[in-house]
Amino acid sequence: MRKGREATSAKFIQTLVYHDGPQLLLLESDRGLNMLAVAIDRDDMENAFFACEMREKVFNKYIHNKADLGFVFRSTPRNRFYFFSLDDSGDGNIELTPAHANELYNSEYWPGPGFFSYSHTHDIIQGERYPSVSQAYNIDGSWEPSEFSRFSNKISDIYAFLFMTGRLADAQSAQSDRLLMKGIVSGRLWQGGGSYIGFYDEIASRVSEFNPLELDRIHYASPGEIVFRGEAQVFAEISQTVKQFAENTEELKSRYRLLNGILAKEKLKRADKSKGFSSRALEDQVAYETNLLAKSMRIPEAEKLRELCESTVIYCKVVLSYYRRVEALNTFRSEGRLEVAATVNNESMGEG
Amino acid sequence: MFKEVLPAGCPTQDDGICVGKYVLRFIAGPQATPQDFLSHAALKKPRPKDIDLCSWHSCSCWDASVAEHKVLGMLALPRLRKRYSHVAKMWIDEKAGRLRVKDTGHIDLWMYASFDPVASTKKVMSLP
Repeated sequence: MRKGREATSAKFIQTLVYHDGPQLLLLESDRGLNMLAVAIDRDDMENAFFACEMREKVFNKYIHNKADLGFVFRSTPRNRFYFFSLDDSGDGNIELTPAHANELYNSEYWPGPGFFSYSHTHDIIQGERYPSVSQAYNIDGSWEPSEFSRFSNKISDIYAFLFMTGRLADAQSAQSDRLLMKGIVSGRLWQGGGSYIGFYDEIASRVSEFNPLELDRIHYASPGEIVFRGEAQVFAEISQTVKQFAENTEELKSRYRLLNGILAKEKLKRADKSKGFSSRALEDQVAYETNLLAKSMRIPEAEKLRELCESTVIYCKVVLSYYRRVEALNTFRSEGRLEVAATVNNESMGEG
Repeated sequence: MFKEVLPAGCPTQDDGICVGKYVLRFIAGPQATPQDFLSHAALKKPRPKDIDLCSWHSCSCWDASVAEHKVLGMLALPRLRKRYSHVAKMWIDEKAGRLRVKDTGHIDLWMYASFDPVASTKKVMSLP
């Protein structure tokens, strides 16, 4: 893979829009970055395309309909635009010509607003990179609007937490995600509700670059269903976690109360995060109990999570916050208003 | 008998027979002409390697019942925006030909030789 300042060639991946000829193509540059290329008319080039090379974050925003094609092009740095002729791509290898600054002022080359990936005429065939499935949660009884919102928030937090902690085990992504998680954890004061909300919002934001949780539909009736889209493995883990919580509620609750009680007694719940336990023995006990709670709650890579936290106090607070979210989900279940079944519709997300 | 000489096995058995519906077709001027309905193959334009021969020989249309913003969103793509100024609303039925409809509303249409797309155009609208 090249590491130069500019790409020189690209590999043809697939056609995304075919309407009277190819109109939008997906390529991969020789620097390993995604490229989107739109068909244009140029007097000096047959079957010409105008392409931009982008970071994964921007590409994922586009693929998940979080940004239109115009945004992708506008947010690309000026030195990452290229031209090429599709006629010269015999074996799928495309020679790129960097766009000169003056060529970038030609508005005829630029995609306009309002084109989203859901309009692709051809499915993205990178299914392995962006697998997405539907998960239906059956509901019953009476639900207030605020309860739908609370349920969605809890699912969203748990999904993001499991997704990110799960990635800590992935050798390829571990380094960058570890640094990112460490930054998110250390950027919080951990003195109250705002810290926790901010923590989950930030990890959800990171998850949205890969495979965000999306609310697909709510069918409100008795019984009805709430359907999300996201990664199958994470949905399966949520189901297992809630099942395990339901089977061991009392044991988990007593462990939570023990830890919460120690933090309260040590006046650490709202203390400055530099404050620690009054004794080393107590800190060791809290670390031990937190590990047990984390494992009982099926938190993936709990040891790695501990390493990312600056102190035992913060590690404990993170695990307790996760407990509270699973407990809230389990409350809906125990009231008989929610069924957390492991039923997943295995349809891959193709056309955005 | 189709309007264009199609490759063997095209359209496929899975491709449907037209039932009465309106479709939209981008065209280059205020009057629809036969030239507006030619396939990319008929225009002797190159075929990308991942586009099957059958699609290459089709006339691209949109299901008129698809949300307007979705169809007009296609005009954000530079070459389509430059080449087309109008959209023809055409009626197709079982005498029109065979078609392949995607969830996006995009239609590959293979017209029968006897079908006249210009005469079947009920309305031409100017594009914004």
